[in-house]
Amino acid sequence: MVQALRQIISLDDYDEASLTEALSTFECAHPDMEDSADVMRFLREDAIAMERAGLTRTYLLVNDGAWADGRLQIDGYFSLALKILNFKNNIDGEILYELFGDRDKHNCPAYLIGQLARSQSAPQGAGRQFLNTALSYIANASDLVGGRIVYLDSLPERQQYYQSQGFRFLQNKHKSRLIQMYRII
Amino acid sequence: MATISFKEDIEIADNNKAKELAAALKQPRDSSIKSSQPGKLPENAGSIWFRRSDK
Repeated sequence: MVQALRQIISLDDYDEASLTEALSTFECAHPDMEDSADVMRFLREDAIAMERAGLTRTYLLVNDGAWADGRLQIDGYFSLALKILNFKNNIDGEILYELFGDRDKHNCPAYLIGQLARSQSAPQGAGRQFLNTALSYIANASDLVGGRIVYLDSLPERQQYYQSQGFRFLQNKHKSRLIQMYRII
Repeated sequence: MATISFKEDIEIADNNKAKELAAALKQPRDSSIKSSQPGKLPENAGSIWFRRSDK
């Protein structure tokens, strides 16, 4: 089951210390990967504050069987944000016209999948399911307010995986080992 | 994936990539992605999320 962090922090009996403790139980499936510490730290330290500030929306994939037994087991999570995609001044006016019908327009909205992780306890293949859920929520936002570009920053080791999920290489991320990949919905 | 990504916007400086995006945006909506939204929390959500070990 997917639970929205936004809804959890709005509950009448909200207790931040308890929630932080619960979120801290999440351990990602590949703790040896370079980005795993960031994935776990974000959920533990940043997700609640960024949710409150309206900067991100985090969705928790909660294990149904454990929940039915009155236990919490986080199988994964993803965090989304609405960003601005800027086209630098060197971009040809013809291309901007093709993009926007306006040579002077240099930006458009883009949806960021900023975090996406499954836990060690989640079944193999769950990551793909989580990604599809993330894309379906973005599609819903797109239906309501527009925007068709979805992007993510990935370790180069995962490029092939995201390509198999319909993403395309966009560029190397500035001052980083990460690559940026995009998909049009 | 990285927390830093939330703090930055994205910039494109490559004309070829901008052209590629323009072409991709001319394609119709991807029918393999079905629009959906999260459901409501279960009734007992608070009792499970806010169960602290030292309480």
